[in-house]
Amino acid sequence: MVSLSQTSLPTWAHTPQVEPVDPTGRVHTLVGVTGDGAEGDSPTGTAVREVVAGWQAASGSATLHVHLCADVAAGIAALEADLVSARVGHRVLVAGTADACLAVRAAAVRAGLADDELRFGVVAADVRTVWCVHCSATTAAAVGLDEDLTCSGCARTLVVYPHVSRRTGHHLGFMVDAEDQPWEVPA
Amino acid sequence: MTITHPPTATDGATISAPDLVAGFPFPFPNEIYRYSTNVEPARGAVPTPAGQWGTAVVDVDSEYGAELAERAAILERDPSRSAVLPHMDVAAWDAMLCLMRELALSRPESFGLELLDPTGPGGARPSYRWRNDLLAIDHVFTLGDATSLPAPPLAWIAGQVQEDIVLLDQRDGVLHGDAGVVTFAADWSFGFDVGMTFLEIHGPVPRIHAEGVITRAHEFLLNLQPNETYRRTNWTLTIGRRLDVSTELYPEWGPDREMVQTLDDDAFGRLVHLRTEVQHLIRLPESGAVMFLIRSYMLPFADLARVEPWRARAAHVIAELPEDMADYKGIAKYRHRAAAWLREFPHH
Repeated sequence: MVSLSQTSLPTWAHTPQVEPVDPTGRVHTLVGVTGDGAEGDSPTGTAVREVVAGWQAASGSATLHVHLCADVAAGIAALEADLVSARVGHRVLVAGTADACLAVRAAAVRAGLADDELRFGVVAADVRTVWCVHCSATTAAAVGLDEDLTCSGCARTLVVYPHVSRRTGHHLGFMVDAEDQPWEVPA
Repeated sequence: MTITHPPTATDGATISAPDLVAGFPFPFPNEIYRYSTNVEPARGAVPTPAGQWGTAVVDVDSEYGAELAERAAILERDPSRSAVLPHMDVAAWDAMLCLMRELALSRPESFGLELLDPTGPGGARPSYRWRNDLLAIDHVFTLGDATSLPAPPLAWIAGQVQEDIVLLDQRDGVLHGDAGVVTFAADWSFGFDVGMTFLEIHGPVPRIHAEGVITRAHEFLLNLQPNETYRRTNWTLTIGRRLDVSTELYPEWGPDREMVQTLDDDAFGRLVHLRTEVQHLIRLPESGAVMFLIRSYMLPFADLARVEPWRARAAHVIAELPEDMADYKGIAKYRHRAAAWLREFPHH
């Protein structure tokens, strides 16, 4: 059995938890991905706002840039706008579902942020975005590690591997029954 | 291409070209196999019952033309096998020069790197002449000037060595796999792993964490000094002479693990290959990146078994391997047949 602590999965990507504010940070960008739609607050949104409020209260005299965003794309846009003027001592805190946090982390990593400049507050970890290694399509679904799902691109049954890309935030999925396919003896 | 090698202990015709048997890096120095850091200084010759291996960091054999053609075809189909993150440009040039020097060292009659002008035409950068007679390349370039090369530096040199290449960038005391060209992966996806740390890349491998192998290897790499070069080996079994057993293509090669169990002894011995990876680790001097080279050698059982000490040792190691390790290597379904095949050879 592979121990999850030694995989590419951050702990918060499988077990919701809120990491504390880094007291050495002088400027904090707080991104909350609420998932709220037009019909108003969702349970996720309420939990995310609580996490962000907790971080604000724990930030002392640091300068704060707070962004409550409805979806991942808006969260990444807000983060990238803040990073244009970022200097040493800038920290980024992201609150949301594990899936949203992985996606925003990927944007932060692509922008050159290091692990010790990032903190996460995860309110739920049931949905994963799975990248099919065979056809490159992604499929988002409520699926656990080592469970199966159907690829939205090639319709293969994929097993969700406990392996997460830093640069996309996607889980690796590969064909679960590849060895059960028909075969021919080579000539 | 003409290649001379010491005479081999085998007699009669083998499936593989004679140099592939004579130069095969047999990966079992001990009666049993367990994961270990097993790192040693590079370039030491290792005599084997069939010949020897190990003097070259970048090795050229009679498969050179075929393997580079295969690499080009794979990259054409799937460009994600090659990646260079933006901050890895200096490391890519560093890697290219290092590989050119190693090729020239390995086969001076076929490769040559000549420093033309230490300060170069613009006054700041050296210029070189690179000669690769096997591919009819004779080219002058200026270090760091991408317009002086026919392709980006890492892609260009990857088309001239049989090794897969991964470049690890060291930041904050951690190594990150931030560039590479990997077309012959043994059940992993380079494209997915780009940007991961060394520890994350190895996350899925059982046992190595509990046994501290990967953290020790990581510590070792972090302390590698400029130009220091080490090597280690790894191994698995591969069905058919299939270099590209990447996770991407698992739907294509996965069924072979069932198919192989149905074969008669003759076909089994021709199709099942012992696959040895010789991995070299080099600290590049300019960028400080660690270059990780993975060269995959394959020898069909039919050829392996003709070298008696190899036959006996491989039979024992493969039979004794703990089940979780056999499972991770993907050989659990047929390794007992493989061990029995070797034990009972010859079959007539």
